Amino acid sequence: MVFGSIAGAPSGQLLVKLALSAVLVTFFLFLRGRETEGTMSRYALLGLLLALRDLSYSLFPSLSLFRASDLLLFAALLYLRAFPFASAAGPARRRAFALLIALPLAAALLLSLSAAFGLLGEGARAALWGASLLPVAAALALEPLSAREAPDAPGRELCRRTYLILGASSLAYLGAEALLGAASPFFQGIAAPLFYASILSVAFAFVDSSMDQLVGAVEHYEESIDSLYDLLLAAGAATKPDFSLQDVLDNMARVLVERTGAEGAIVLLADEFEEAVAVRALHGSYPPPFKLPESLPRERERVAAFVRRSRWKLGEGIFGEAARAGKDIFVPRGGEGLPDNGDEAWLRSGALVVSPLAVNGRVIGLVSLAKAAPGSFSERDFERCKLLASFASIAVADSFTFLEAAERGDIEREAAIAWDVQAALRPRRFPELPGLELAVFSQPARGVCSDYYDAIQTGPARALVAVGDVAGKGVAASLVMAMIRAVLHLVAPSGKDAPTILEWVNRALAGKLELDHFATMGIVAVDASSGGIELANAGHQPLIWYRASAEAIATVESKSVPLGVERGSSFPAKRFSPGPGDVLVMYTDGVVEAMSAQGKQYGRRNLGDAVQRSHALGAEGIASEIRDDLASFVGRSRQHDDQTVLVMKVLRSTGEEPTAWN
Amino acid sequence: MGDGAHAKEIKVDENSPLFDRTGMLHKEFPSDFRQIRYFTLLIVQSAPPDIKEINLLEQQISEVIKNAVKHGNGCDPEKRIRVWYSFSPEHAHLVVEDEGPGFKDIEKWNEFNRRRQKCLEGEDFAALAEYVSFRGERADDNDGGNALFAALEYWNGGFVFNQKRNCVAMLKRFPKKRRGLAASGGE
Repeated sequence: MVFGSIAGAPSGQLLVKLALSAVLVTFFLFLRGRETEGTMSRYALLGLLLALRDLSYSLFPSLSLFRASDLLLFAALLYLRAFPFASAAGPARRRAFALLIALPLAAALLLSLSAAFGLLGEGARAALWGASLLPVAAALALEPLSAREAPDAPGRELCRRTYLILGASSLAYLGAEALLGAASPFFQGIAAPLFYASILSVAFAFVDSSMDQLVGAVEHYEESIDSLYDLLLAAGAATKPDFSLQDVLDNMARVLVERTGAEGAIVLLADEFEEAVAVRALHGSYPPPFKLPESLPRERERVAAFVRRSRWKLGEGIFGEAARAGKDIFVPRGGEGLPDNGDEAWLRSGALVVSPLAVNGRVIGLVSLAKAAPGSFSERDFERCKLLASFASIAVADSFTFLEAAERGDIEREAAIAWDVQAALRPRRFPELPGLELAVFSQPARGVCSDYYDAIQTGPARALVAVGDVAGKGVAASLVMAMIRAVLHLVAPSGKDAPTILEWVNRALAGKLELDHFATMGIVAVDASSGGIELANAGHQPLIWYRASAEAIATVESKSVPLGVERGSSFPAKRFSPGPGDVLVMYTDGVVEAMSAQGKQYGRRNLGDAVQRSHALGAEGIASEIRDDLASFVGRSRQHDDQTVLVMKVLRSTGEEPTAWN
Repeated sequence: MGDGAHAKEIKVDENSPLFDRTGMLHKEFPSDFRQIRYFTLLIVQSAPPDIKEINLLEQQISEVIKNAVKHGNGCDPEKRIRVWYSFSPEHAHLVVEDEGPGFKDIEKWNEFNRRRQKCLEGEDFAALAEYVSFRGERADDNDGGNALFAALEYWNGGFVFNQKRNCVAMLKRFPKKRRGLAASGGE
């Protein structure tokens, strides 16, 4: 029956109002998904309330009930608009607003009861209605004041944009109702629908506000992208040939100041060895957020110098704490809790932001922005700082990686240069001497490259064979090696004996050089025409001599100091004549001191044994046997010194061309 | 005023783990004072390039070899110096043995150092003048006497003599470089 009465003869006014209510509900439900605070859903409920109210009124056209529904409607509007401000303003204000909402609700209940039971006269009911609207009107009138008191309250922007239109339409609606009565066709046909339509302004304002926020966000992100570009450009100093970490940090501090509106910025880095952070760069005027010593003159340059030298242990002070926790610190204004460092305006701590530079959960540093009082930072400044800090973290970490790679590169490059020099100084081929074979193996240790060997033809059947070991390593050692080789090649053809050759080399080396220039060296002057061997030794390892006639190993030693120790050093000679099948072996420290996995040295005994085992082979074969034996002995242990073995094998005569050795 | 209790001491401990020579490189040298720089270079050349303050390490090794050559073996060319050594980016470990009678003045030196430290802690600079350098029986005018003070500071892993006091073992631990601090994430 109820449905029939509505569907059977709905008035045009009711249809208009229902249609408008439906539009309201549809709009607000549509917008519901575009916000998170639930405001649109509540306005959709308001639209539903309007529709229910009008349907009820068409069924029960009671003026008191209509007025009660008015009170309910405006209490709901008050709740939607003013309650968020009250909540943001504190619990007392919240309670007061709750009371303001409760009063019209209570009056609505009273009006409904009086209509049902005929408790009050018409005049009293109208008075109650009017009086109950007063707190609602007062709260809505004070809305701008509330908005100022709670500027960060949710929905503030929406209320601001719709205040005038809703205020005016509410006044028109209530005025028409008060003057003409709720039953008036003008009220029901014009004033009420207009009021309903005005509620749509909330939806439009929401869309408008969202668009503004979107445009603001786009601008913000565009600015952020620009600032990131600047930051990465500043950090891009890493790609320049004259890269320095200091440049990167200085540029970073500058970009932070320029892109956040801060007056000053500092960049701090974590110490490499201690649990501490230290200021590494400062740009602009940075009021220190820590207590300055009283004795420090309050002059800009002195204070800046002090800040640049400052460091904090982990957990100590504002920066030590930020580094320990790896958390941002935001003091937007006022500088509350920050120290008083003096009366100078540029020293008064105002606003402060501290953001960690963190990579993979480790804090590698901090950035901090500051403004002197009464300056302030907005949430956007804070967000911008955090964004820049996150990219700065990557830039700083990349700089570290670049520096480490460059350092490793320097080490590798020096090792490669030393390796190249050493290789270039080696003889391309050995001289050919009648009845004597020469062979060598030389294995440089990584980064050492200090062994030297040579064989210089000094006559048709004469040669000078040398094996040396320069003290030190790398390029420095290879420079000394180059000097030794130059002098040796200069004096070897002189025909002088081996001791004299060594004395000359030593004299050239023992000058006043700003370079360590020590080397051991053994030289053997071979005269294949006489079969004589002359050994001179500058602190070098004894020569191993396998004597075929005795089938035994002997050593030939000629003690003296290394080259470069004293300019006047002399090097006594040992002269002897090996026989057919004899083997002479010169070698460096790295061979006899080569270490096995068990920590034992290869030693002269193992070397001698290897020579004895392989004596029947040619020089190449013997060298190869020694190399294999040494490799087997050391296994996979890392070797710390070059290993060089030079083998001279006296050949047995074939009878066709007898040599001096046979 | 301080009591010098914080002064580091030269230890005498035959059983110190620092005397464990397992896996260490080894060289022997004659007691030739002229060649100390050369011996030092031979030892240090096996140090990895990662060790940054290599000059300081060279200086300390040179000092300890010099002591062995001069005060241990009395520069007698017939007497040898034996050195065991191992290096890594994190440590330098050295054992130096001479053929001399041993460093008899260790207790005197420790007492001297304790008093010196007491003067330093108490800022008694007038008294400190008496503790500028330690002169043992075998010292000459060229001995500043300060090398051991520096050695005790440098060899932070220990500086220990054997019972005969002719062999000294020492360990330097290099600080490990790291990037960044582990954030606790606390408040």
